[in-house]
Amino acid sequence: MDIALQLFFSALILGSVYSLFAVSLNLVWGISAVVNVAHGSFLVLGAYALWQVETAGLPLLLVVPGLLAVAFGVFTVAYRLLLRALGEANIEFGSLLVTWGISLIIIAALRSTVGTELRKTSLLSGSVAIGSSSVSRAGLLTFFLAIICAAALALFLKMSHRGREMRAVGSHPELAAAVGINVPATRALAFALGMTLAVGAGMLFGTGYVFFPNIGDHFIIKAVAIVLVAGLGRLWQTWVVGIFLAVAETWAQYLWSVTAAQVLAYAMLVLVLLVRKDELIRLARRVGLRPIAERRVAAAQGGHG
Amino acid sequence: MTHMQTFRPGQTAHTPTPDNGETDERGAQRAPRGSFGKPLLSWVGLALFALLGGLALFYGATDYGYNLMLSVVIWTGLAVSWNVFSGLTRYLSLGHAAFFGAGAYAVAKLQPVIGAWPSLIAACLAAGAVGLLLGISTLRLRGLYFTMATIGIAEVLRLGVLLVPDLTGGGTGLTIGGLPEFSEIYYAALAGLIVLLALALFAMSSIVGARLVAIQDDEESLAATGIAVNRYKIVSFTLSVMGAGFFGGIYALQIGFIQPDAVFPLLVSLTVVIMCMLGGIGTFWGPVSGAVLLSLLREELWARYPTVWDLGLGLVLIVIVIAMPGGLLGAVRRYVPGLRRHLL
Repeated sequence: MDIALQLFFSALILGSVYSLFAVSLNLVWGISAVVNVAHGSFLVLGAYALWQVETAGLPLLLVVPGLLAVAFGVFTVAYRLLLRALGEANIEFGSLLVTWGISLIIIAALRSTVGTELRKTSLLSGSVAIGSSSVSRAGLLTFFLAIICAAALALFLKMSHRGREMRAVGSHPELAAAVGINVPATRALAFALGMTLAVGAGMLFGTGYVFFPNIGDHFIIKAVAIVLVAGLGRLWQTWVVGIFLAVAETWAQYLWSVTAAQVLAYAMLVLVLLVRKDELIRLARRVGLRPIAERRVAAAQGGHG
Repeated sequence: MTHMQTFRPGQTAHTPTPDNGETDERGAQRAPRGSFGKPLLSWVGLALFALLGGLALFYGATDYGYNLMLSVVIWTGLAVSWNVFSGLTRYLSLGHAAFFGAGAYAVAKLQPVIGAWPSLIAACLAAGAVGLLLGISTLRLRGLYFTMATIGIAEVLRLGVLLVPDLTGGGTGLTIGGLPEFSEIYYAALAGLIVLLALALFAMSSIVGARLVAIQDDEESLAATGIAVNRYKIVSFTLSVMGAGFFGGIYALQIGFIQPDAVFPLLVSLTVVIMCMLGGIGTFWGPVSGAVLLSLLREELWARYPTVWDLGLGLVLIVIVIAMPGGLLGAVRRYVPGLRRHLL
């Protein structure tokens, strides 16, 4: 009972990082149609940024929001550049390969500057007793900040005009353009928002866990699995699936091994690709991915072969 | 037709581009999509390539020389086998390492039992079996989702190997004893590569290649000509990944020791894709030239300056995708337009 509660708490904290990260991937992929393989690398960048700020002894509450604001601006410009370089028709596969290149560069740069040692921050120490088990302060902070970010995002998407535009672009870009929404600008906003959230998720991860340059690779595949199970553009579902994966992984690690825990995400990915094929094909069309996608959807629905 | 032609701001309606040039509607260079006919120059080039490889006997007859040449041959084999399916159909697979690794493990397990050369055949079959399973389950998925599934398969195999250490040696890997000489392995690999190249060239200059490109262009129309498209995809995918299995086996014989982290990493799959893109995806000589260039560079850089290698690889990938989607061969063809008839 004691162990179960302890595992549940640690799964909840890990899951909140997974979920926030997957939600940010969902924004970037589902709304701005960029398949961002470098998403995990930006999470790592966030963690290292926090570590750097801490070791330099800068005022945390001042610098971190400033960093995130700068990142937001940079990502807005980056989306425009990416769109221009690749062209709208080629954005999906083009971005898959380009962001992969970016990811290689980020990891190599991190390895040569901060090294491959495991790092961790020591911003918050100590723990809080909850019933018979205890939770670290850093974990609690991570959990609540992640919830607040996700709730704010959900409110923004649900209530604000910009948010509604974003959802419209995510679900049907052509129709959104037809009713006068500026699709590229909306996608740029969603991209910048999602990427900044990924960096933020990295900072949250950095408060409570050890990290190293390559750790993003583990995250990206998990996030892809979570997003595919939950569905593009579905935030609350993404959140639930993220928590679920973390709980399952924590138990698998406790009962069997780390490897068994790692298999879970891939098993989830493969299963969803097999089981929800038809829905995925429909989603591919919904994301608006270009004539070829549509033609192939049509061919798939024809069911030949 | 069940799809609607919809209006998209800032983009002209998509019409299949005639295959006579390498520019798209934006005026940018686009990737070439194969060409058909009698590529005499390519066959002559293939003979020269074989001759060049055979000459290693005279100029590279040291263990170092054979090892270097073996790496080049292995990467070239991987790139060509990837390109035959993914380059022509644009079902981009990012799981080539899965088949490479399956071949390597097949050789590592079977070489003591049935000998080195028969185990290479087993390596092809093992990779083919993995490819068949993956093809049947995922080739109905379109575009990106197929790519996602292929990323998963190499990792699933890697973790699978870790989960059954009794059979596979787990994370510590397997050591293979009683290996043939480097020169023997090299000539076996070269023979395999020449056969693979000849098959690929034959396929690409025949109706098979045309159909594979048609899968890229318009699967519906291809189905209308009476081809069972899905079966066609599965069979061609399975055959192409058998090549990767062969070179995985060669790798196992060359190194004499395999480990899941060495044969299944995503970076191997990605390097193969980058080699093909550098040379020119969907062409015959593109993957060959890209693989030879990059594998020679890799031998120089990878062990000594891994960071420089990764940085360079990332930069090359970005530059090619953005600036020259046709790769080196595409750029050459742009300046010598008559070339593509004779040199695939």
